[in-house]
Amino acid sequence: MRFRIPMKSRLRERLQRFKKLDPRMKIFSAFTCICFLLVSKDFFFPAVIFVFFLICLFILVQRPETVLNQLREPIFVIMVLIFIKSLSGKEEIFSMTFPFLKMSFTFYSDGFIEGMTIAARAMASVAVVFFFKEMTSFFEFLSALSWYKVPREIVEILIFADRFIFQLTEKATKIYISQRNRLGYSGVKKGFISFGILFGTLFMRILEQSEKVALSMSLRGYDGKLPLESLGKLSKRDIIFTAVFILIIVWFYKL
Amino acid sequence: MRKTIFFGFSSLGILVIFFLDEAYGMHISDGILPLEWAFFWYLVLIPFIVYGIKQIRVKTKELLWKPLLGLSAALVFAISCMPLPVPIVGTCSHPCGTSISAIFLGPFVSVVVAFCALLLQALFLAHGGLSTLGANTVSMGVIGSFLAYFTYRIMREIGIRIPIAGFFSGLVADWATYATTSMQIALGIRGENEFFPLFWKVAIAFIPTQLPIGIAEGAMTATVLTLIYQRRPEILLLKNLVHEKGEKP
Repeated sequence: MRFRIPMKSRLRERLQRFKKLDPRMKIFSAFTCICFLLVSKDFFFPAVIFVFFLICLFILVQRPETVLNQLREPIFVIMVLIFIKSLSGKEEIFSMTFPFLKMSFTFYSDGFIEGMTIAARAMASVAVVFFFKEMTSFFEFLSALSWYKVPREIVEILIFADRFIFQLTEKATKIYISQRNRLGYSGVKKGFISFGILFGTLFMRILEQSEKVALSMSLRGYDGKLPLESLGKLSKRDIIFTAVFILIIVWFYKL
Repeated sequence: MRKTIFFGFSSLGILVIFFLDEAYGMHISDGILPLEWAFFWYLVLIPFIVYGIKQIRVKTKELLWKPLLGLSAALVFAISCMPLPVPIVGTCSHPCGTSISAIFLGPFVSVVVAFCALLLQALFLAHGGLSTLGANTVSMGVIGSFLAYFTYRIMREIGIRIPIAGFFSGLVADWATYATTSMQIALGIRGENEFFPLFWKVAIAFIPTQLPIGIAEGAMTATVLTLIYQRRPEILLLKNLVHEKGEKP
């Protein structure tokens, strides 16, 4: 008996194949794509890229809220910028007068279009980064950074940070929830003090934990250098795939 | 000027209250800065990163240092995930956390820590971005860390007490970070418009969230320093952050 696989699952399986691509090529493709987005002057190219990667992300991610959550901060910043850009320009659309405050605002169509272009560029770039992040594991990313000659100190700090982020976030969340349950954030002054205590407690813990980690690592033979997976030679298949991807991006850019 | 002020408050109020229940720290998202500006801010950042790494190389001869730096980056990241209520607009935002790292690790090392924390934020949370990593690190890491460090040092030198020096160092770092980000955005998006009117518009639009967050960051820095002074005064003595043991905090 054959089970019918839903369309989304099949598409997801196909998209998952991109995960096999070499991380160096993934980073290169993402950066090239972002560079083209940053130099684009019209609305069409970034809008197409945004829609394409957004669809890919909705297929790829199990819960659509994850995508929307990731886009919240950029949306916040962008909406403010569209508003600001709309207030300067040459072609007037409409004016708003507030007699009570003796003020009036004029909105301009060219300013609004400029704002929308920036918004499309930003949303497309965020979608590209999010897509490539979903396709690349953190350690693949670090190995690729190491191959691109990013200083070893930065890579090692990132390894340590990644190792402790979730522990610290969990601890911080627990302390925050218990403070909130004890009405630690019921007033502005109380909130600031509670937040200070939370941050201070975490800071004390990281000092203690870093001493423990350094001791336990040195007992296990840590000499100050963390071993990183070395990436082999680039395969022709990966190079060709990346070249085709970039050509498609260039073709859309030229349209 | 009144128009600009009204515009800033009204736009942010409308946007924040009606569209989002949570606002964030003011990192510049990917795609907002054109390529030349993104590249320029990376160029500005490079000398600080290079010197910071040099200092790290010297310091990490002690094995304790690398985990400590990694944990500091993780802490900056974790703190930036914590929603802090913003009283004026009724939303949540988060402080930067670089003032503490600058005071304890030194400003150059703090730049590298901020760079790592921002990279992780860009990847995991889409706060900031990869193309704007240079600009965001310059505002938060370079300007924030240096101003926090020197404000604290100068105020301590003239005999001001730890909590007050800590408060002002956090406050100055946060507001300076926000002013620099406003400048970076205005330079990046101005097109043919004049710089200063746009700068004021951007700066004023973000005042409702950043003004209270600056005070929160100051309060947070003051509390952390006081807490550490009460529980582990040897750390502050070791880092030369207090002059003598038993000094009134």
